[in-house]
Amino acid sequence: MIEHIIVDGFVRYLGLSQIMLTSIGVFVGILVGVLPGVGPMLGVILMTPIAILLDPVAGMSLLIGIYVGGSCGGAISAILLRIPGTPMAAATLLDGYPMAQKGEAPKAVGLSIAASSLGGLLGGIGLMFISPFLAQVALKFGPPEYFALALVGLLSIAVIARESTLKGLLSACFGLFLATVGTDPINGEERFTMGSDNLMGGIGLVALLVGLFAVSEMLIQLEKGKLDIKPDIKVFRAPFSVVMLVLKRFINLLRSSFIGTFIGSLPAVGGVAASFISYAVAKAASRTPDEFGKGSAEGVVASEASNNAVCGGALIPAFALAIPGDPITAVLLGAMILVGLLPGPTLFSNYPDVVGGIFYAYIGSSILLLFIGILFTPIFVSIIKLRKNRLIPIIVLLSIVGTFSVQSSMFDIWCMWIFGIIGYGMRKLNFPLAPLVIARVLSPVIEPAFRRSLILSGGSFSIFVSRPICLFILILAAMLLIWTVIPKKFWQDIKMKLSTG
Amino acid sequence: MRGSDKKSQDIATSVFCVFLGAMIIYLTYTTFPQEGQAVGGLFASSRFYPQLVGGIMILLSIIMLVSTVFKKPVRKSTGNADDQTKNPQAAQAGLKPIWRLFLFILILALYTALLETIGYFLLTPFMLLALFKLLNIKKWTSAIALALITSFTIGIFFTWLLQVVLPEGLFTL
Repeated sequence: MIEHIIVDGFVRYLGLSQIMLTSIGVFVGILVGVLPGVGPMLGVILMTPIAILLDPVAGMSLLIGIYVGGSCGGAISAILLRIPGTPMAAATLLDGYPMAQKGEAPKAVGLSIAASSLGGLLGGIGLMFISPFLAQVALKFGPPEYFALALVGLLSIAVIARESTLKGLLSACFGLFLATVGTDPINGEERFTMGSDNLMGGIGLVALLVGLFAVSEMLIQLEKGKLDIKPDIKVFRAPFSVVMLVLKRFINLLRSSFIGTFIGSLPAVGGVAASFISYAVAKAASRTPDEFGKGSAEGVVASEASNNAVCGGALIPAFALAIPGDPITAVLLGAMILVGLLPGPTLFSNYPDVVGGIFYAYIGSSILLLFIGILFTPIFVSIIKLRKNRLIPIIVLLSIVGTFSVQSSMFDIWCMWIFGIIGYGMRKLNFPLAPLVIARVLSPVIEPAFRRSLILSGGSFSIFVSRPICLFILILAAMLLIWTVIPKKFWQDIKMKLSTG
Repeated sequence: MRGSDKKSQDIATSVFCVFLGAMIIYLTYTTFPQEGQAVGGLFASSRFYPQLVGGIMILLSIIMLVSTVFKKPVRKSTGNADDQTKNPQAAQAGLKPIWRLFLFILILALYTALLETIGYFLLTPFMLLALFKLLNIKKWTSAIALALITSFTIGIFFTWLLQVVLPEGLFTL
C-alpha cells in the first residue's frame, strides 16, 4: 500500500493546477492567519465551497495549503502586535515580540516562517509513513471498533472544553442532533424534515460551519466595536538567511517537530499545547535558558516548528481513522466528504493515489510556505494594517456567495444566518463551538456503527466488551471521561502531595 | 458579569436545554413516519438515536442545573468561550452596539430576501455600501468604490472562473 501512496500519489499531485492551488492556499492561509479573529478555520470554511467544485486532490491541496499557511500566519501578528493571530502562536509571542521590540522584527518573522516550514515538512514525513500503517490496522475494525474510536473522538471534546465540560458535552449533543436531520442512514426514513424537501438531505455542512463561525465572529466583532483602528507598523522584508539560523538549531527543530507531530495525532490536544510544551522543553534543554522570554531565537523556533508539525500529526488519525485531531481537521474531514472522499482505512486501499496526492499537498504546502512566506512578507505585514470595517463586509459577501455556490440554494443562506445567530448566542453563553462541529462530523460514523453493532449482536451490549480492540479503546474513553469529570483541584492536590512526599 | 448574573444565566440555559432535549424526543413521536411490525427492532428504528441524544441532553442539562444551583457564585468578569480578547470594547462612536447588530442583521435579511428577485450584480453593491456606511467608512467615494470593486470581483471570480450561476433576478445581466 505505501508504495502506491508514495509513487502514485506523487504522479497524482504533480500537476500545475495542484501546485498552483497549494500556493494560493498557503498565501490565503497566511493572510487569514495574520488577522486576529479570522484564522485558518475560517479560511478553510470559506474556501470549502470553491474546493468542492475542483478535482478532489486539487480541492484538498487548496484547503491544506490554507491549514498550513494559517498555522504559521498567526505568528506575524504575535510578533508585531503582541496579539496572536491564532491561539497556536501564543508561545511565539513570548520571544517573538521582544525580538521585534529590539528592532529584530524581520529576523523574528523570518525565523517563524522558516521554522514552521521545516517543522511542517517533518510532520508531513510522519503523516506519509505512519497513517498507512494505522489504516492497515483499522481495516480489521468492525462497527464496534469504529463506534469506540468515534466515541473517543467525541469525548475528547470534553478535553477541549476542560473549562466547561458540561457545556462542551451539551454543545456536542446539539451537533449530534443536527446530524440526525434528514434521512436515517440505516433505513432511509425521513427525520425532522418537517415536510420540507430542503431538509431531506440534512442541514448543509457549509451553511452550518460558515454560519456558526464566520457569521457569529462578524457579530461578535460588530458588538466589540473599534472597527476603524489601523495599527502603526512599518512594512519590511524578511531575509532568506533565516533558514540557516533555523538549521543551526537542528536538534531543537527536530525535537519540536516530533513533539508537535505526536501531540497533533492525539485528538483534542492541539497546537497550543504542542507549542507551549516544545517551548518549555527547548528552554529546559538550552544552554542559555535565561534568554528565553527576552528575545531568544530558540524559543521562536521551538514553538513555530511544533505548531506546524501539529498539522501533519492531526491529519494522521483524520485520514486513517476518520477521527479529527483538532477542530480544523474536523472541518477538513467534512470538506473531504463533500468533495466525494470518505476518510478512513478504505480510502487508503481504494484510492491510494488520492491519499498520496493529499500527503504530497501537505508536504508541498510546507515547502511553499518558506518561499511564499518570506517573499510576500511585506504584503502580510500590510494586511495587519487593514481596518476591520473594510474586512467584515468582504467576509460577509464571501460567506453568502460561497454558501450559495454549494447547491445554488437560498435555503442554505437562510440556514447560514440562523446558525450565525445561534453561534453568536452560544458564544455569549460560553458554549464552545468546536464540540458541535466535531460531533456533527463524527455523528455519521457513530450512529451507523453503534446501531449496526447492536443489530448484529441482537441488542446485546456485550459486543463492545467481547472484542479486544474495542474494549481497549473503550477503556481509553473511560479514562478520558474520568479525567474530565474529576475536578482539576483533585489532580493538583495529588501532585502536591506526591511532590512533598 | 457578576457571579449572580452568570448563575441566573446558566440556570436559564440549563432549563432551555432540558426543554430542547424533551422537544427532540417529543418530535420523534409526532413527526416521524409510523413504523410497522417489520421495522426490525429498537436499534433499527429511526427514532432510537435521536431519542438517545435527547435523553443525554436532558440528563446533562439537569446535572448542569443542579451543579449551578448549588455552586457558590464567583465574583469575576467572564468572557466568551472563543473570544480572543476578554473584555468587550466600548461602543463605536455614533451607534450603540445593539443597534449596529440589529441594522447589520436587517440589511442582510433584506438582501437575502430580495437576492433572487433583483439579482446579485444589481443588489450586492447596494448591500455592501449599506454595510460600509454602517461600519463607519466616512467617505462616500471610498465606500462606493469598495462596494463596486468587491461585489464585481467576487461575482466574476465565482461566475467566470468557477462557473457558479449566481441569482440573475428579473434584470438579467
